[in-house]
Amino acid sequence: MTTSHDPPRLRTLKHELPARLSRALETMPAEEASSEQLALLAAKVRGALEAQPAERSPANTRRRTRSTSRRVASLVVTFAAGAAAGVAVATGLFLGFPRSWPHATAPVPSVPGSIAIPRAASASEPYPAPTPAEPPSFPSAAVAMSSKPAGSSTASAHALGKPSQAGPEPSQDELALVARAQEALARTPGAALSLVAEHERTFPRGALGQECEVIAIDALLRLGRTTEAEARAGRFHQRFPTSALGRRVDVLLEVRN
Amino acid sequence: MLTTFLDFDHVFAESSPFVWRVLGRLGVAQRDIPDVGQEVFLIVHRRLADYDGRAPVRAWIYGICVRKAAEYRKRAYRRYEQLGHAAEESGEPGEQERHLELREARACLEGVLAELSSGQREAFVLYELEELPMGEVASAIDCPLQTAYSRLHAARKAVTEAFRKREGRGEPT
Repeated sequence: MTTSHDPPRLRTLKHELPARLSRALETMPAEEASSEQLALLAAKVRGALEAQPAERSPANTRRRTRSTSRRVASLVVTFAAGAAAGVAVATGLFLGFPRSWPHATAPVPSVPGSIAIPRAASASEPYPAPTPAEPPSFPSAAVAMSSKPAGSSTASAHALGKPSQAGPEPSQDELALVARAQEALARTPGAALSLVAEHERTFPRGALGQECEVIAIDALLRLGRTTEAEARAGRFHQRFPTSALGRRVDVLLEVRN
Repeated sequence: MLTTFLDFDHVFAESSPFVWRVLGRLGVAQRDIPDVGQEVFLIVHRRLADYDGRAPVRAWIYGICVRKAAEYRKRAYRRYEQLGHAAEESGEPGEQERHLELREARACLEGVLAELSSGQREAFVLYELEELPMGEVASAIDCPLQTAYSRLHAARKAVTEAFRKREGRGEPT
């Protein structure tokens, strides 16, 4: 997947282009689907998944049934936050922010056979075990998904957000810790805060520092510690002025205030 | 545990904006995007567990979009619906003025893209508009990197020439 020999994009050569082409190329990459459009798509996909027979092959029956229901339920949550929040929700990062959206704690419309969205698990099992049938290549795929070509300012620049610090990829230990913090957020925001603090101690130069800050801000808001959350958000913007997560931070504050 | 990061809802949340966008750019009429997008995500849902991880997820999903859009174009034989035209009527007069040029330019590009071969159009849209790296473009359109380069090259030439020709003739969109 070499990218080093990619030619410069046409839009960067605008002096050599017909003016009209240059105009079109300059603005088209920034086009975005509206939140209503995305909500419509989500509704259609949800409807189709609900209508789908849950089993495909005997070997997969149980897993498919369970995961389909769970995924449907999650979609419901993801887009239950309303049109205004639609884009923000759609821009959730790979750490599972949609699930932690404040509205997600509201009752989930029931889906036949649905099971609860995974919550923070007990202390003895801080995070759900992997489903054996899932391929082991997913972690790297998740990282791959989060990389975005430079120079784009589309919604997906948030959605596929650049990794918080464009440098190192997080280690598995770091990912696991941040995932635990993320999972703890909904039910035990205090625990999420502790886990973020643990992250700061253990991985002071970790790759997921920004994600942790967002979790901390979210947790403070859930605990009603608004002033601290605002101060932390201010520091976030200072430290990471161009972060793809900046908007997420703003939305969190807006929703809670 | 890490597999949770690519649960379907996350993939949906992250990819639905670009799925919507690229389907339109690959010739799916706005009113049909929800249907074609639904087909895309049903495939993603069905295959997520078997996804082999060889290509980045994004390129994989783009690839599904490319195939679904191609099927759509075959189905929707020349059901021309210039996307720019519907919006042309609306808007404040001042706003209309400001956006007129832009709309013209985009409509022109859409027209030119529609004239390209499928392969060229796909390479152009994914590289120039979606701004994927060429490696992912090749992966999404399922061809060798070198082929992707030559399609892109041909597409760029055709697009630029088409615009020059139109401007030379002083032709409106």
